[in-house]
Amino acid sequence: MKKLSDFSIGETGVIVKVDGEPRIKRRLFDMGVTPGAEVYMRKKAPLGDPIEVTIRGYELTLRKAEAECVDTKEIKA
Amino acid sequence: MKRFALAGNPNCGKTTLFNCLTGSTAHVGNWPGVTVDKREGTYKKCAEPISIIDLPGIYSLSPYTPEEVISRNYILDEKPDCVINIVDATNLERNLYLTTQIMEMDVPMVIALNMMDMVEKQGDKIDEKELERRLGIPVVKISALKGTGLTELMEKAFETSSKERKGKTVLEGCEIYHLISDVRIALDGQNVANPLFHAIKLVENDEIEVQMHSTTIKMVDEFKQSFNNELFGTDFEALVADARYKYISKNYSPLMTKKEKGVKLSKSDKADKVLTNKWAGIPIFIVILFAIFHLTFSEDLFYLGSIFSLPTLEDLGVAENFGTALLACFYDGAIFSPGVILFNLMDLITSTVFGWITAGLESLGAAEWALSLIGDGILGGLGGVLSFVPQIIVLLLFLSILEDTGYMARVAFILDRIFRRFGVSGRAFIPMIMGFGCSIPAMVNTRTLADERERTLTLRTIPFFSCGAKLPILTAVAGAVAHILGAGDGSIISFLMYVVGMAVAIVSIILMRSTTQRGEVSPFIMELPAYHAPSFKGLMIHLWDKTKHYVKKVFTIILASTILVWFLSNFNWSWAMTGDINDSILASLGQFVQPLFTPLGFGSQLNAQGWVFVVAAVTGLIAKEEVIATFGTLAAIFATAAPEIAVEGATDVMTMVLGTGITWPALIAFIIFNMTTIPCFAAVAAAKGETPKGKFKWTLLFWVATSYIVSAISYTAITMFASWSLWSILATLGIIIVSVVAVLLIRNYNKKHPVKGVK
Amino acid sequence: MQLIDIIIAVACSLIVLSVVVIAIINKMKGKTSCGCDCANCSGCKSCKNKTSKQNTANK
Repeated sequence: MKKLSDFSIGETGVIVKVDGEPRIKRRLFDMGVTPGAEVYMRKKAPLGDPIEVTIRGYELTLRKAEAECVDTKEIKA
Repeated sequence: MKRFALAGNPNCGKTTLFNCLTGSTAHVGNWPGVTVDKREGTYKKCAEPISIIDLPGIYSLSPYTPEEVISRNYILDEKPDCVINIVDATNLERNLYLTTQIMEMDVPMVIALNMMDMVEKQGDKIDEKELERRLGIPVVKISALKGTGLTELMEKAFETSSKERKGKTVLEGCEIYHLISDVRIALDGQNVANPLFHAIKLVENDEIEVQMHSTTIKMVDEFKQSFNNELFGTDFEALVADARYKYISKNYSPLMTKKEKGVKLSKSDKADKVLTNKWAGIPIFIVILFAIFHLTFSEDLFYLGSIFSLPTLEDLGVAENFGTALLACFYDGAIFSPGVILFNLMDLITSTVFGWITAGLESLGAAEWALSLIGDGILGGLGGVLSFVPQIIVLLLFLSILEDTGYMARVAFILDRIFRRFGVSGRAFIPMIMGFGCSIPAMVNTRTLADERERTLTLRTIPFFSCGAKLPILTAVAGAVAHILGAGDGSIISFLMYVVGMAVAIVSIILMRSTTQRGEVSPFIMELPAYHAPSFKGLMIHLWDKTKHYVKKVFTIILASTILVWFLSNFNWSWAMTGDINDSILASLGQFVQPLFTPLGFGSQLNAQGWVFVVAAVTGLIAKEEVIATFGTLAAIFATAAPEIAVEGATDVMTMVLGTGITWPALIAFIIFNMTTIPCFAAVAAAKGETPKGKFKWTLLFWVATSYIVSAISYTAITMFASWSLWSILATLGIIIVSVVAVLLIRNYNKKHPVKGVK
Repeated sequence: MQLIDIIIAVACSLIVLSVVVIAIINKMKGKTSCGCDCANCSGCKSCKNKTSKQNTANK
């Protein structure tokens, strides 16, 4: 199990659980960040935060703190 | 007339479709959240005209943001005859999430599968017939960009709108489905419209629903006592969201076959690698901003004139005729930037035409006063402003290109960390940059910031990002300052003024965040749309609209104001015409308020004519271009009355300088004052509309106080520095130290007394 | 006064009057004088929507 915020660039994982503050959770769900979705770590901003991921076929950006709400299991490095 | 609503995710091409259908020319930006209000138009190619409403782009119908509430309430309350759900085929899963929610309402629906041109280009395929069968909703392939499939879409929508439709849900296989069913039956019994939709939202614990159906919520709560799911507990919202996506993944995603699996680098991705590069990202952005500025304002393109010491036209000994005057628009000791070239050309055209008009009137034997009214009043005033219109349009062109390519969202991404240090989300960057064009859409765009306090404080700083209308003030006055100081190019000063505006914004944000607007930064979960080249046609249409808008403004409001100003400055209180401008109505009004501005450098310290600055600043409330228009009129009157100040070829501002004795630090203070004070009435109305009830007066007070204080400080500081005494340096250092200590103390206090998270 | 003077005086008064009157009418209708080309303003809020907005609860 690995938190999305701990991914390195190029890693892929499958989301297992999304937990956190209600408004953040809701936002993540609306954007398709739900259990079962595959997520690929695309890029990090200068200073490492926010990060950009590819999920459900599009590019999503979120902060490290928000990415910490997402638990995944790796499928390949 | 039938009404069709367009609903869909941000960036799904809704606005492009809206434009195609209605023929109007809405601005298409490429970052999430630009369309933040509904727009209406008419589609005339069906059997009967149809009203089309473009709802704000939304990701879901939960009541999380105002856009979602607007869209949701529109469909529920206004009951459109058909909802056209635009789905971005290149982004199917996430787009269908919204679809599964809309379909729960009892409203006729049609799905427009957009961006099919992209799908075909990538070699992917979608089985839309099967999708239609599984969803139970008609699906029409379109490409809004290419304009294909639109007639079929509208015909289908028209056909579907006459058939009633009952809401359906994809949650039938879900464990809480029988709860949903029970609630639905209860609501049906209460004769609630759209019972299925309300039932599901109620079960999700949606705030609006809970308020509306307080009796039925008890049923839901009872059920929750007995329910427990390992993954979600009693978080029904999460459960429902999860169920929707699972259904979509299983039943709809397979209908799209991608040509190449895996992560492929598209052109957009390659561009992205460079532009948001970890190390180069920020420097590249700064260079781009500077380039925009340079191409608009610089009087020495690429600094070639200084580097190579190019000769001026005078040095070259050219004769003075129309031909050389034309040449002088492009080159005189330096090559001018496109913005400046256009300015010069416009200036040449207006002065020539105005020359003909005055000569013509003279030959018609017009009276002295009439010549003054037309020549000094109208032409003097308009001339000052008209020349700037092309330059403003150039600036807007560059800003539009930035917006339309999708670069803005990326910059927000890069800057978020830095912005957060100051207490705002990177998203706030977008309205700020929009502010450089026009404050009004920028203020409306602050709705995308979820935290209310963050929204208010961003709103308040938008005028500091000097809008296009302030460009004439900056350029004209900066030019005068440069002239006084003997420096060649006023564009450096203009640049500094923009920077000062931004600095004031940053400081205000820090201050407000530490005192009256404490709260949390908005979440930054945001889609990054692919880059795409802005459509040339779209850009030209947008620019043409803006040009029409400015020209209309000039020939209506500004024209009327120049006449008024002329009148008030030529007549005294006994309604008699007076030769001495200081005897006029306008002068006495100006002198009444003038002393207030002494700390700013344009108050009582000026000579008898000094009231002009105050008057000009006040006319800026109508429209910021007014300031220069007023200068134009008054300078012309000055010059006619006292020809000794009318130096050959002097600008209006220089005439004012010579006529009033104002110093250059005060001129800078004047620019700063106009940049940071209350914006034009239209912007004030827009700001008021975006501010919660009762809070707006503080925003007004904020603008007045900030502009006064900052310009006073600037005037005093620059005057002191200009005299370079030890005392002035020490005093400034002292003030800085005291301010820094004060800020640190406030922040320390805030850390010890954290504010509770506000939604 | 020459004819041209009269024309000028009348024209200018008309311009001022019409601009002021139209501005007041717009204000009463609820439109702001942005030039309000809603189409290109991308979200110029206070147009036709204003009256219906005041009826439905916002936020």
